[in-house]
Amino acid sequence: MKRGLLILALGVVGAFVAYCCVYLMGTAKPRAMMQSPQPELAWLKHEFNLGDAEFKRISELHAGYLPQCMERCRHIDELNDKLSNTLASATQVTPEIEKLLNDRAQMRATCQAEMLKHFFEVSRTMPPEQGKRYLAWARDNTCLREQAMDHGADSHAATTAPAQHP
Amino acid sequence: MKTSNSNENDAPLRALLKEWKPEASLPPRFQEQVWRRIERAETAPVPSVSLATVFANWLTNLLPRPALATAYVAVLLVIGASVGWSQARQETARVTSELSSRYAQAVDPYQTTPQP
Repeated sequence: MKRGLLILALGVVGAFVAYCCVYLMGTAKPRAMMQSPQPELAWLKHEFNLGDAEFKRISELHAGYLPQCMERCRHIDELNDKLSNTLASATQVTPEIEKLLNDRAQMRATCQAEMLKHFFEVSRTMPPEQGKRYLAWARDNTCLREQAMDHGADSHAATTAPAQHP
Repeated sequence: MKTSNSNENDAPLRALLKEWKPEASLPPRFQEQVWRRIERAETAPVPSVSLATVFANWLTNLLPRPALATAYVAVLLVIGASVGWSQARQETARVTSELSSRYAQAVDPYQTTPQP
């Protein structure tokens, strides 16, 4: 009985130790990424197999891009606030409202163009094959891929003209 | 010398045994009763054994056998390692997906934060 209990316990302890070892080994990479100073850049390095020199250059590009991006966001926020205030007292589309809409659209286009420039720059820093993968990822996972237009149930009824709304 | 002497002494005993006939008779319907008892024994339900008894028996008699003990420990090791590997894969996929979203969010302010 005693020997049987010992073997039983050995099996259970062995299973637990095997679980812990395999789990810790299997999650070593993600844990290291999460503990790095910039986990999202650590992910980029891991995902696109970047060398240290490439990673350093991309980190510099990232650090240079973010402040400019935030400045553009602040500008868009200002335009949004102005537009909201103007719309609050408006009863029709005024030249001022049109100008604000145009300015905001222009700012958004600039923002997207700068983002795209950044993606190209980053992709050029990577090995060619990884650069292609990175651009494909950016195309699929950022606002460069526009959402499909949808007018809901009414769009199925209106079959005369295709929707051309932005 | 001794053997021949004992044979001489056994002769009356042998004669007496030859004369002896058992007088006891079988009880009435003895054969029928035997068959009935056999039938009863065959149709009687097997006495139930509790799970604890089976486990204790397994623990005491079967598990200590080297081959079974080795197989048992090996199977548990494989199960533990498999569960660990599966959970590690899930955790890696979760962290990778989260960091991918965080990077996208950092470079693309138009990203909508996923709702929890």
